[in-house]
Amino acid sequence: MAKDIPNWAMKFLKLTCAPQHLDELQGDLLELFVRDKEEMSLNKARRKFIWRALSSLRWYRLPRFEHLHAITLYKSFYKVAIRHALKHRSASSIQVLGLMLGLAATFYIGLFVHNELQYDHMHERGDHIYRVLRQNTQTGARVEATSSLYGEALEKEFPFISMCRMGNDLVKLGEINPILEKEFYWADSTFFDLFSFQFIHGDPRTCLDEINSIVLTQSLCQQLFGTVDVLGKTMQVKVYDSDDVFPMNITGIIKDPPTQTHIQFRALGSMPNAKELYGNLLNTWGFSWVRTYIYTPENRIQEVRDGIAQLILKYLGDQAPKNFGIGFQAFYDVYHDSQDIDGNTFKGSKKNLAIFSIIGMLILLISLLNYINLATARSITRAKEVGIRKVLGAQKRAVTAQFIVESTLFTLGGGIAGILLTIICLPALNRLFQIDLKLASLSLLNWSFIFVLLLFLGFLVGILPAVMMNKIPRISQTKTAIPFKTAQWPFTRKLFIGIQYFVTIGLLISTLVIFQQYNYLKNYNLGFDSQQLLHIPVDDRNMQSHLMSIKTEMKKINGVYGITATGENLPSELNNTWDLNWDGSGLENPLSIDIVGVDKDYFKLLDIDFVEGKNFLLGYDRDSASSVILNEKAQDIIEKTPLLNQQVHIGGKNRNVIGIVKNYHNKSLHTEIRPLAYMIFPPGFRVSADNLFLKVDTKDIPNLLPQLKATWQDFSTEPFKYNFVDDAFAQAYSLERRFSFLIGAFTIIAISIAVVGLFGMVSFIVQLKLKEISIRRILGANAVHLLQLLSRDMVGVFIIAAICALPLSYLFLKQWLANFAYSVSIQGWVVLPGILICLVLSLSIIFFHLQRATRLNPSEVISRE
Amino acid sequence: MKGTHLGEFEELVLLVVGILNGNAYGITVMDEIKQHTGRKVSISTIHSTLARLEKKGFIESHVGGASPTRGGRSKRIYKINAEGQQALEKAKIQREKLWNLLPKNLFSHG
Repeated sequence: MAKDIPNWAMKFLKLTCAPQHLDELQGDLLELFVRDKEEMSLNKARRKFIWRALSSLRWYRLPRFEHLHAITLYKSFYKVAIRHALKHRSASSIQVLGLMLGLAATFYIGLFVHNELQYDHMHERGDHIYRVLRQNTQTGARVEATSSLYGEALEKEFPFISMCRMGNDLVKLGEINPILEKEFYWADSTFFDLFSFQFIHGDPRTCLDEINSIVLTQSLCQQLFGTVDVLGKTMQVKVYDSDDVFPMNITGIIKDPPTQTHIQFRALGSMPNAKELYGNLLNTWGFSWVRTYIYTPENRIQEVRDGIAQLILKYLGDQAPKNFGIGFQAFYDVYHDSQDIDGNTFKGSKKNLAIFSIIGMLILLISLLNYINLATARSITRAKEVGIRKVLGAQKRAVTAQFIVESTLFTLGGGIAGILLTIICLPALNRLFQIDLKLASLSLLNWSFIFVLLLFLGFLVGILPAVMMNKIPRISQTKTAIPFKTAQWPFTRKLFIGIQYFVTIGLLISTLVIFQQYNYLKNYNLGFDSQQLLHIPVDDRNMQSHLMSIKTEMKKINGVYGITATGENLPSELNNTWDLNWDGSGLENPLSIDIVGVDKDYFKLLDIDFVEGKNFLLGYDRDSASSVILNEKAQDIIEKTPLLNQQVHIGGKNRNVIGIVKNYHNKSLHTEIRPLAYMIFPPGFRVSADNLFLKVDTKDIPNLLPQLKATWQDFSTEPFKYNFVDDAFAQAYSLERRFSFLIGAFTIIAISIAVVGLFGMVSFIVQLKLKEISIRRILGANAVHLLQLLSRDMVGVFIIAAICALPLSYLFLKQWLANFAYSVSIQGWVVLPGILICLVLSLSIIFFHLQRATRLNPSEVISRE
Repeated sequence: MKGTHLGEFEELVLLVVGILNGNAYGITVMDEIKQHTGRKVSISTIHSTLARLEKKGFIESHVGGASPTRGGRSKRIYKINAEGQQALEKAKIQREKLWNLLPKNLFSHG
């Protein structure tokens, strides 16, 4: 009969039913089975048996685990661990504190790295999307802006790809009170095939197919109409530069793009409109105005890369400049790996991520080593307990298990406390570091990973104390509480403390240099007077023709020392690059030069000195229209002496060089100074003046601004906007600011962990050596002798750690500084504060404990048994 | 008392254990209930009810004889005890009391 029953069903019963109920259950089920077998087919009876067995689970007869020996044992470990921790409160809290700080920092760094790596990942097809870049095949320099022909040629040559271009344009949206929108792009109909956005209304597949189609984001839609239910409505789109007006049909409303993507926009217009607008201009390879992306299924990007040389030859032929190339950048790299691309504003940086990950691991390492060190030290005081356990028959395994249970409890406790601490501090940290970290980015899987990792780390750090405890022979354990060598500074402990010193010194030195560099960038003399300089952007086209009058009006205001109108903001974008050549240059391809539209007041206001020649005399006139002022950098690249009062061809027109000005930084220090040509333009061009700069009395700002605003409103209906130039430059270093602040914060945490650890360690050692100290004191040793006695080993370890840390941090810093066009040089003295801080902290910790020890009566200590 | 309250199904099982008088174990109880009330109850439900009654102290059990049809596994035989009898009587009296309180003409118009 038993053979008719599947074996596993019986086993299942045995597993899920407590032994005292097993016979009853199995017996009854078998009896029923025998009865069923007579009434129905064997198979059916068997099925019924299995069903009854599987549904036999009842709470009351589940096997109870408390009867298992091992569980009882673990319960006792748990209890002992808690009791022990409570008994030695200060030592335990030092251990938990160290772990908490370390794990909090590690968690924060992990969260940061995780958030950064998630960037752009909401786009489902991102794995197969590439950004097309213009690439200089000789220098490797990459440029984001491409001509619209790139995409068309690629699509024609490689039919398997799909291509999407997006070209920025300044537009005015709506008829009454139009909104000036900078985040407007002309986009191909493939846009929503490549990129994933959430639609509120409209069809992602067809919304950009037709001419005169526009897709709005939720926030813009709310701003324009006060509702999102505007699908199918027609709205007026006026192109700012050309004054063309399109009545456009709203074919889609999407949720605002998440902040974690580099594809940012507020409105998209269909590409056919741009074709109508720009006409033949779009059919030239030289007119770079779009960003191009391609999607290649099945990883066929290599085919595309291989075919590029052929493509260039086919489409450009001999016209192609020698160094002309096309590059492809993986979509997910756009954010992290674009530092070399001019005008890049993404804060991502693979290097910084790597540096942070390494620092995170170092901090984790020192906090774990710290725990191990303290745990082994403390375990010595527990030798008696362990000895008795062993004598009573506990095996090595049980002793090991005890320590692992303890360390797991500590890491879990410290970890959870640390994570909670980070979560509580997250808003403050976000403000401090100017990042937007969100906990929501962690999935359930991430959280379980963190939990398992904590368990694993607990296991890891429990092993060493356990192994050490097992090595001690049990007789000596029960007899004396403090055994021999372990009380001294054994090699592993020296090593661990050495590593802590190493990391701390290295971080201190690096922090110092990184902050030096940040300050250097921030306070660098830009070559012009950026103090008290107020910037007013002129986004209103009609306003540009009135700039002369508004200048005069504003200058009348008390507290305005001077005013100038220019085509470039400060820091500048330098978007207008023209060809540069001169008679007898012998150049095959013309050089390029950046154009800055100015007026005659510009140089005086910014306090820029002339090396040679003179300023423009008047506003726009026939004379100034054929004149140009160059900077020293431009003088350097034009091989013509003397240059003053000579002709150069700029943008296909001859101009007379009337002056040469000193170099100054009109961009942030990430880039070197470029050759510049200053000219005066009438209103209506891309290079025309559309910024006002005012030298103002900053003491009287609250009084001054309303007056400026009133004057502005006499001329324009646009809102009055302003900012200070030195603020804007400081803003350009926000990435460096964040980096140095983060590094600084982690250094402080690393030092805290090391201090906490050393504090616990020294306190322990002083206790062990209390008798020795007392005897020496009776024999006449003073505090200095005792300090020497206790710090001798530590200082040795410290020196070795410092010797290792110095060259490594030097190498790292040299690499890091190489990223900057302008950087500080590493000076020798920067090692001093790091070393001094470590040394002074260590010695004062020792001294503190010594002080406490010497307060005891030595004769009492010695007579203690 | 919450702990010794007799549920409806428990009362039924307790009665059946009494009826079977020394021959009550999982299967016989299940069969008896099916025969007299038509209720089809799974064997595991019977087991847990019996265990609950035993815990409440209304029945006692001992390990009984094994048979080849049971694959050599012994039965657990349940017997009603004095407390169980009291509980049954109490339930019966309570019920009769309530029956007597019903208005006499309640069913006459049926």
